[in-house]
Amino acid sequence: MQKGFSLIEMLLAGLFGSLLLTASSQALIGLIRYQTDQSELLRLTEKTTLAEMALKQTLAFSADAVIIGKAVDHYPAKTPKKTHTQYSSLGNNTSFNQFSSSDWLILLTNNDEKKYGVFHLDKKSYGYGLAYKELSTKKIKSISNTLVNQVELLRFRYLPDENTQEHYCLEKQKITINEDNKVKEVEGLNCSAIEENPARGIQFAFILATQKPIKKPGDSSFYLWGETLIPPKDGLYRQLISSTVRLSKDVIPSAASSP
Amino acid sequence: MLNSIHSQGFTLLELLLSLLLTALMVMGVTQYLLVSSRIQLIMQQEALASRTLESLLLQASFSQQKKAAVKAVLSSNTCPSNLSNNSLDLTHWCQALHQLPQLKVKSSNTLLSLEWQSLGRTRRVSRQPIP
Repeated sequence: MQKGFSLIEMLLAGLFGSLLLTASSQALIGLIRYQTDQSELLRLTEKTTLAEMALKQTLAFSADAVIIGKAVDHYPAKTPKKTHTQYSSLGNNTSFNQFSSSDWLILLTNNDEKKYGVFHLDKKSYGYGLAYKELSTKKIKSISNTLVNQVELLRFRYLPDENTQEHYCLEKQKITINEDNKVKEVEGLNCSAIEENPARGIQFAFILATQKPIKKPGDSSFYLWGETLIPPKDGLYRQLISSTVRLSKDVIPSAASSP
Repeated sequence: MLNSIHSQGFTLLELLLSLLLTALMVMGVTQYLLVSSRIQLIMQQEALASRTLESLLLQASFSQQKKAAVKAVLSSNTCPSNLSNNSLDLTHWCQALHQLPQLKVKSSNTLLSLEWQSLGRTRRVSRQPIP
């Protein structure tokens, strides 16, 4: 015996049904958005760890020289400029691309064989990020490898001397930067008192951004070492990480070795 | 009853039952989102607290002066205004003060911990104290 719906039942069912359908589709859309954001954040966390590890490892195994090229523009300046280094130990001019709002760092890795490398930010066809380039006199064309994408800012400073609070240059030779064919000395460094005051370590900081805009609001400004950094308002979520590494040639002071 | 041979088409009860199931599913999804975002928040806060402690303890291990400076910062429980003059890297400490509600530093002989209130509970991250 067939029993169809009555009009009231039909209306009731239709009303409930459409309400629930709207609610469930909303919930599902929310779920999908949430998961997408979540995976972006996960990727961000992974990349910050990778970048931190890369910097820490390389710095910790670097023995000798560290020379800093300072940022020349305000953050964010993501146009890479070609930067030449004229560094006597490297013989030839070596060059690399570098975001002008970030610092760059030349490392001398240790022991028997001297190796030079530079940490810098640059833009390649597949995106921008933290890159490491080995500089050498033998290989004329060494390749800059991008280690971690989406790094927007990179800052270094020496672990300052306890008494004078000054930041030091570790190498005797001064370095000159040739930017747009303008040669100038690196500013803000006291390269005269090297042997008396070797720097103990390096502090670094970087800002990493997600690849896509996400719903979670990011910080409207970052405060790093007395400088306020205002990120662009593009919906990307950013994270500021800073850390300290001691150079391997440094003798561990007695205070640290006691338990 | 649901699939008896004689009935053709849904009865109202069956229809309502299926709607109820959908409602339950929606509630499940909402609940998942809520719980998941809470976990995410807590994880982020814990990561920040651990980073803060790690960075301060690492710097305290460098020298006696740094140790005193770190201790002073921890006991003051504020972000110093003249950061540029400060030789310590307090980036994470200031972020933690800003982002973790009611942040407190508890230190004893055996533990140094950061405590903050989050989602109605006291959360804590502990490390070895500065010697």
